[in-house]
Amino acid sequence: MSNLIISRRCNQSCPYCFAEESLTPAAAADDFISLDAFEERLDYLDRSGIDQARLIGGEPTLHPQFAELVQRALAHGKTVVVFTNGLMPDAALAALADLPAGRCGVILNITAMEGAAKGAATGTASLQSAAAQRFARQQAVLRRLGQKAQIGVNLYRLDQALDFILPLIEDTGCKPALRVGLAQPVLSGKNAFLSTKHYAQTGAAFTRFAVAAARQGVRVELDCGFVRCMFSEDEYAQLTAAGIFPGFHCGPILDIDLDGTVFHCFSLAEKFQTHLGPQDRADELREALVRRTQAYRQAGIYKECSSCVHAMDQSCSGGCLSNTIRRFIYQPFSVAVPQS
Amino acid sequence: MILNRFRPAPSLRWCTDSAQVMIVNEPPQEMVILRGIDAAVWSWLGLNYGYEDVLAFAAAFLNQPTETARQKLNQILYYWVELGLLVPDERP
Repeated sequence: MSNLIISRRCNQSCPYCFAEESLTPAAAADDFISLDAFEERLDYLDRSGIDQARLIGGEPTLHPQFAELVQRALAHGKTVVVFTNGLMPDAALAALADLPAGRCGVILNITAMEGAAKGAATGTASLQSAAAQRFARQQAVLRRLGQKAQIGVNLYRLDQALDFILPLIEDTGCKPALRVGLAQPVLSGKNAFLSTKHYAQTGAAFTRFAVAAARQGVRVELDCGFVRCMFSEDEYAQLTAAGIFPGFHCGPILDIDLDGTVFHCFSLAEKFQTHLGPQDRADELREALVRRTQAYRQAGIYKECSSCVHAMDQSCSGGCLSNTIRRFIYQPFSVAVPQS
Repeated sequence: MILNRFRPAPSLRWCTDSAQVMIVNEPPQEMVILRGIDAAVWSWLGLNYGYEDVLAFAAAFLNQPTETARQKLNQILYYWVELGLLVPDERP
């Protein structure tokens, strides 16, 4: 798997955004990937044996040649997967809507619209707000794309509402599936993220939601960074009985920036990166980044992780590596030792 | 008495787990894991206890006379110097 960054520009400001440090605050000429560089990325996917072109940003659909990029990816035989906030230009929406269903998938991140959705559902004044207008646009995009579109949500607060999502899936006719991520910190910790102290409470709330979703035929998929201990034995049993089999993993995603810089993932971008060479393949880049992060992987997000049975049987990787690395500090001390 | 002052190498980052101290030297991203008395000594030093305090704690931890604990403590500290975990502290 590799994600191709095609835009450094975004039209949304999500509090948990882990890409914010790579976004350009003001419009600049080099905000978008060039067609030549995009061709190089497609060649990289070809020689890596990857059949998906996963387009991310920023907001990828803001690329002025978005439709051309999509067509070029299709010409390479790729399935196009777009990670969007849904606030896309009409031309980009049309380009995606026209694609054959089997060649296109859209993950529409709905988290930032949570407040607007609640307002819309209750008919409050916020319906008129800019947030509500943006939510209306997201609904329209979901309706237009139908089964090609899937909702994604990032959990970044303990009291985050999820109850609007199931009616939204039913109302818009989008794919009955939901991708759930935990908002993780960038190493600097400047973004909003879910504290590991709140994982167990989040696990309980998520279990209730996921079981209800499964009853309505909505498949729930978990993104990286979940840990086994955020679910009690009973909750874990409920999830598996509902057909939800969480994976507790953390590994290099390989996000490739406009200039060819390859990140482990956005959260670790400032510490673990390499550069895409003309002959590099994804498995080699991944191996190199795994090697460089290996030492830290012996720890986990909690002090109990390194001696946990789920770490020993490798069923849980101990959560997001960014959270783990943030536990490692340099605490100065000095000791005067008698000479031996 | 001649004293040698040491501090942790600036390239180290560490965290304390429930049963061990994990120290990463970066680069080249090497991990050293301390357990038992070694982990305890590192943690006490991290709390900025001085040598004599750490010695007293170590004697209690090991349930050994002070002189025996002193030998063990010095052995640990100079081994860390050999490993490069501790470096001479030449700050004024």
